[in-house]
Amino acid sequence: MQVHYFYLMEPDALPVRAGWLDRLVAMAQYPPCTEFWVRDRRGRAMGSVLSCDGNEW
Amino acid sequence: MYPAGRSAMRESLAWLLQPRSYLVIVTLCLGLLLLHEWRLALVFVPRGRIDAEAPITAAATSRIPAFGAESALPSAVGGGKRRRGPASGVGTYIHVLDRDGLGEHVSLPAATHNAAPRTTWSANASSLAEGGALSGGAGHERHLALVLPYIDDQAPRISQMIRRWQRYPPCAARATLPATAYFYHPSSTSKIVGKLRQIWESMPAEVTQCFDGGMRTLYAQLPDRVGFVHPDGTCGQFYALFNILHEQVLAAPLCSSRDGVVLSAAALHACRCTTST
Repeated sequence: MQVHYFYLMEPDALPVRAGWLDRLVAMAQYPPCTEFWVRDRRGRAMGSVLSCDGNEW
Repeated sequence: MYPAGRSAMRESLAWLLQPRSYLVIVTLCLGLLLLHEWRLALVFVPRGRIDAEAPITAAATSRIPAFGAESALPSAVGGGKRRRGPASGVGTYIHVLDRDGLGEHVSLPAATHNAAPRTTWSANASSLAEGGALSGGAGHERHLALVLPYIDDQAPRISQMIRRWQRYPPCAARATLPATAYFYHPSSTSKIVGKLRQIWESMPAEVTQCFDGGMRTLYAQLPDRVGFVHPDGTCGQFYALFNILHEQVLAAPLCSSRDGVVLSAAALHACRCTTST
């Protein structure tokens, strides 16, 4: 199975909303959402060309 | 005591009582202190490094040139406090691999570890920024690995985390996403794999069906002296993950020169390909 992205989720990283995997997968699917290499824990892209939806993370 | 000795002692005492003597003595003490601290620093720095000859490189990171012994591992991980177990509270999202781009588009997390040297992969990530590789749109499904690092002692915490997924389901009802949950252990064996599977299987379908790849286990195969020490273990585990996931891509036929793309030597080696250049 080929993997394009990974999300490193430490044991104490707890979801606070339903649909959190939906969101993560969506970020891996379509440009410009996918145009990042690393995002930090607050979702800020590092080295991205565009933000996903034009908003600041 | 001989008269000459008494005279020498008297002179020494007189020298010590002079104000400038205090200055000399204080300077000498400071010099010795600095030398001592400097020596300590020399001792501490190697302690923090993951030696390039350590099994970690042979086991996990040296197989792909771009993540070879020197480039993959941080050169100055240490210096901070050490404690057992991985770091906590980290959620990092990383673009690991892009098959269209021959799996080279991986960047090192500069903000996570600014000591990481620039590698072939991070260099290729620059071309990604220029829009050369990310052209995947509709119909090109990209797979996400949800990597859950843990150590055996964290079984209760893992259990608590997964059970929380019932309260906040990962996906919408009856959805199945291109994702796999990977439980990721720093060593080569885990005593709680069976327990993790039990927990996973006991989860309601609305949680497990979100992952079309289901649940899997990964091992970083770090030596214990590295894998269970923070921050070296966490860091080594993070870097080893690139290769582990990368090799999963390599399991599929990958190496075909397309559209006149010239493969780098590193890519060819990584692909274990016989393509001639």
